[in-house]
Amino acid sequence: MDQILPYLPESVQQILLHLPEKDQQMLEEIRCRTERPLELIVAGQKWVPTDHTTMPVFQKEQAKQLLQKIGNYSIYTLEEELKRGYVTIPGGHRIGLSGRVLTEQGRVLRLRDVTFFNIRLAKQKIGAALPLVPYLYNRQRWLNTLLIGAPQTGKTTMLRDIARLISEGIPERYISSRKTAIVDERSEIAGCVEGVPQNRLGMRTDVMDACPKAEGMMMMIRSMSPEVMVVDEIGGKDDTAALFEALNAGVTVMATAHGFTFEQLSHRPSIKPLIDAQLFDRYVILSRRHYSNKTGCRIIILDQLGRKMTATEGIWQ
Amino acid sequence: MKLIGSLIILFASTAIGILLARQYRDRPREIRQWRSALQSIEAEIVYGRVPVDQMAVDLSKQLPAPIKTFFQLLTQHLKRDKQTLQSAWSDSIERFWPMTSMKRPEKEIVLQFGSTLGTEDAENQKKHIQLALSHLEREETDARQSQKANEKLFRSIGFLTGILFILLFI
Repeated sequence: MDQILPYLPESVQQILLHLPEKDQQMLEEIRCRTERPLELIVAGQKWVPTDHTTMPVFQKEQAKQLLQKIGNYSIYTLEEELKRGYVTIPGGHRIGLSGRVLTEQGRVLRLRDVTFFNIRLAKQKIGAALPLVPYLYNRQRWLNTLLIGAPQTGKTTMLRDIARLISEGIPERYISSRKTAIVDERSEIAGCVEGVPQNRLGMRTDVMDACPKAEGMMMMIRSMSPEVMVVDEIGGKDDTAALFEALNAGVTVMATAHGFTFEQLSHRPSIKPLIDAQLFDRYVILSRRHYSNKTGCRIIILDQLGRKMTATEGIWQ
Repeated sequence: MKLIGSLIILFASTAIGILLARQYRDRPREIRQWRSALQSIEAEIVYGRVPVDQMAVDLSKQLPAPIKTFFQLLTQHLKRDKQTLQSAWSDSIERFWPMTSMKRPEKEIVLQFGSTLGTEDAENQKKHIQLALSHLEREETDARQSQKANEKLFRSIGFLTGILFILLFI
């Protein structure tokens, strides 16, 4: 939170500072749209001020200032980011950008007038993946795992914690640490700033930041000799080929994929061959549940043939 | 006694002449420094993509004396006072200019350049720098001409007025 505040305009800062303690902890997104009132997403829902104060309207000038501050008053350092549409700032928080796009021969050149900002607060949940460990670790090795879930169900949070557990090891369960490689195309897992991870990922983690997954995986296998490789949001054709390569090279892979159910995913042409070849030993399906005011996460674990092993429901956040 | 008095007068007026002449001598040199600073900025932006605050620190170490102070001021305004780049730039200019022999036109150019710094992509930054550079070049030739015309003139005027006063008082 403190890392975010200096970027924001005064009026937004005031609102954030006066949020109730409980809401402040569960704050997920800060959305600023030019000439529209500020929007806060708390625990998955739009936050409504309790005392009928109105949200400040985000001005055009403030949008300019915000972008300048994000770029450290040097927009030219943001060229790559303006092409991808998001920036990672110290602390691992991600700021999604949209607005007017400049194109060249039908391809996105970069964003020009950035008018919409979505600040996603990164929250590392240390220990989120602990309940999964007994299912994912067997006979001295980690099993190839695919995490499945819709957006905002906590896939990446889970994956990040798995990466941390692998590279730190769990001495009390006699699980030793492993060399871990993260291919972090969206800078979401490690939240790197200038190549230095901002999240706690253990001592034995190498990160390839902002690198296309397929190429990154190959680079990692060739150069960094990982024992476990962690990748986010697989789905492309190239990814599948690289995953085959990695899994056959004896590297354990932990990956995530977008999807609601296992069945739905197994119909996706790029993922089907992976499932058919039974390359993954475990599938973890995450879904989000609302229990009277609290959001929780439901976890279902399937074995390599897609048979249900267990379903646990836990409340976190 | 008379001799000492007249020597003092001569010395003082020559010194004034030299000081005035120095204004004309330093101006082109300082403009040239600005040009080389802008060229460094260009290289840092286009090839290094170095953010402005880092660049100001680097330049305050690399560049020679008078202009170095400007980048120190800029760093100070950015780091300590947490100003926006644009206001830090113009404040630093306002504080820096009286310390130099440079005049209004080049100040305007540098101020104008500061308002565009960091607001665009590298390609456009380069254009702005080129524009500022060519403006500065023009000012420099101007300054050199007036240096040629005035530097010697002021120096000898200083000396000669000294002599004139001495002759008048004797």
